[in-house]
Amino acid sequence: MSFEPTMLVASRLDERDEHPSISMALADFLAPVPVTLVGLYQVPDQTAIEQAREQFEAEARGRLDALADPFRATGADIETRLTFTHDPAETIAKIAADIDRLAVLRPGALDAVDRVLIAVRGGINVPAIATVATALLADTSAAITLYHAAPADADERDEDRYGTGEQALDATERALIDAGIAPQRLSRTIERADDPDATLIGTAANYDVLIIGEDQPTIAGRIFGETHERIAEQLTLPVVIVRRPTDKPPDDTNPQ
Amino acid sequence: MTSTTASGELDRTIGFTGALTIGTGTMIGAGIFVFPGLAGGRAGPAATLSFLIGALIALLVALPASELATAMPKSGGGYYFISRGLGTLPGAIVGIGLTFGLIFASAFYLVGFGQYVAGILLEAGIVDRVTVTVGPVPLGIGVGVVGGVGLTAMSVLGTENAETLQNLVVGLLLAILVGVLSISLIDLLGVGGQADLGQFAPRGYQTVLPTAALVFTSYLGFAQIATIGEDIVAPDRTLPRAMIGSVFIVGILYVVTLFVTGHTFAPETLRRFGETATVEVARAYLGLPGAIIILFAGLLATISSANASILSASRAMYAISADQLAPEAAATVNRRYGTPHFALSFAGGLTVLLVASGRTAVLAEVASFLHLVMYGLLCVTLLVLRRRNPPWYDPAFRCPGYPAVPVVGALASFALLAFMQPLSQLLGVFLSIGAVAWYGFYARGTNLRGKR
Repeated sequence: MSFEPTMLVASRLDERDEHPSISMALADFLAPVPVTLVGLYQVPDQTAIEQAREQFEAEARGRLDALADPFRATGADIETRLTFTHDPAETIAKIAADIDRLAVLRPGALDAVDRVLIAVRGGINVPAIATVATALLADTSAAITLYHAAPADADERDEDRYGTGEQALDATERALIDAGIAPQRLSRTIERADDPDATLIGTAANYDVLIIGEDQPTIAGRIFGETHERIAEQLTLPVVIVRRPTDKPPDDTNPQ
Repeated sequence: MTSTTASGELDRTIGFTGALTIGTGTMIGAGIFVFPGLAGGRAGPAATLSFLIGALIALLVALPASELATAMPKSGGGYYFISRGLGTLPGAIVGIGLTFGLIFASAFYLVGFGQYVAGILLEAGIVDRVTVTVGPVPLGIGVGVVGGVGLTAMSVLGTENAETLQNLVVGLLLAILVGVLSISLIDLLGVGGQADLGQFAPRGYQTVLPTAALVFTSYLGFAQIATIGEDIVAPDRTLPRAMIGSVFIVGILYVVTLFVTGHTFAPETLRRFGETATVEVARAYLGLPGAIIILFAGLLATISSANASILSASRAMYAISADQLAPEAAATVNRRYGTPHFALSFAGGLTVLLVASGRTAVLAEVASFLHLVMYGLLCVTLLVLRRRNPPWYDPAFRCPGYPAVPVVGALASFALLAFMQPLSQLLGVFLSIGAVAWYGFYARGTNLRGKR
């Protein structure tokens, strides 16, 4: 199973949330891959979806178009979707599953892409992470750090089960070099820590972009919720979350 | 490539379980916790028949409603079907009637809520009798009013995840009811099964139909599922299954509850217990812990039903305002909170006024009256649409037993109106005539028939 590296960018358009803006540098960074920009307008349960859409659609569409402008300026392949929903997390999960997007971007501040951190947990994400990283970074000269944070108390049984961080980084490095990334751009860091997530957050703050794999196949459904979200939320830099490959065929029950 | 989609299907977030929960949840709050005392006090164990009649009418209406809902799965439910199928005037009667019907229902639930809070205070020894007053206001009524004001404020200011909460509440209520009812039923029937159940209809069978008219409010929830049609996944399969399924679940629970209640206490005793008779049933079989569990369950059930009804009333107002049957301002969504603040305040405010009247039975009957008018017209709509068969009419689910089911459904819905007390009938007729007058004054030029 091969993947076309594609990116889902979700942004909240309702007034009750801050909306991150997309800088020109971020749009340039994503330009190599097709992007679907989803504008989410959350509607409280006590308001009918249609009722809110009738009143706020024009305004929300204007905001979404403004967000899409930097992408259009780069001449990238961009598709926009505006959706009014009671449940943004579930809607994003559905969209991600529907159109089989491989990676999801949490927008963040970006001036220039000089240093990129790729966090690798275990072997399972390696092919997907390498595909996305190659597509985004092949035409740049950014320095790439492969990173693994292991729990301080990880015992040998865990390592037998998941493979060591070292092995995962080896595999990632091989995949990137095979895909044409110059070896001298790559370096690696392994940290042992009581709280790997916190350590990763601390390290990532020194980089321009973080690329991270998801643990669960349903991470897209947690975009406004759990583990990776916690990491992404504590960072001001853009975070690319690479979905774990699933064998599920694309869902075709929702013809547009 | 640049495309912009308004993504209809992706907004659909409610599945079968969610829809079943919404239907079941709305019904459970009203019936099980508030009606047994009122119904058993009138008819004794024969009140089970009243609830069976109610369930039968609800099923007769649920089938045509399901067909109409799969032909027009759109927010607005019965109102939408009738205004599109029969035209603007019947639409106005139903749309305005439904709005007020839901407001009366909400007030009815809140009066029950007040009684349950009073019951808890009594149990905790804070008051020494339920009839105590705070200033000039009876305690239960005062609590109901405060509850109504609180709910309105919460819904205007935007309480999110109401559905998640609702799922939790309904699951908890079902578990408690099934537990308490099973223990009571086994105890009542005796392990050997030679229990002496006494008289089935101590006050005669003529009490059954008036009681059915009173308790029909218990079944109002099933049509609620149609009003969220646009949020439901795969409505052609989900809607009929959820409507019929929730009537079945709730019908069985009511019948068992009334069977146990009616055979446990004499009608005079039940009448004295009033809205919180279910608590005394639980106390009789499970002692104080049973009473406490039912007190809290009743509290949850009544407040969550009242909340759901205020929200539905606001959606009904949106539906008629979107059709130019009411001023646009009635449904304007507040920019800051994302909620229709006027519609919610209107529904909530009127609810509070009605709670202050404290007339439980009248509130329940007027709510039933206005809904039954809608249900009857809904059956008529099915008959008219099948006969006229307009090109846009293509239901994914077809009502079985046509035309007998909608004909009997319509006749039964209208017939039940005759068994209500005069004040309820007067209010129901007054509100319906008021809707006709409003139509003449405000909306005569609007044509909704066949409008998509």
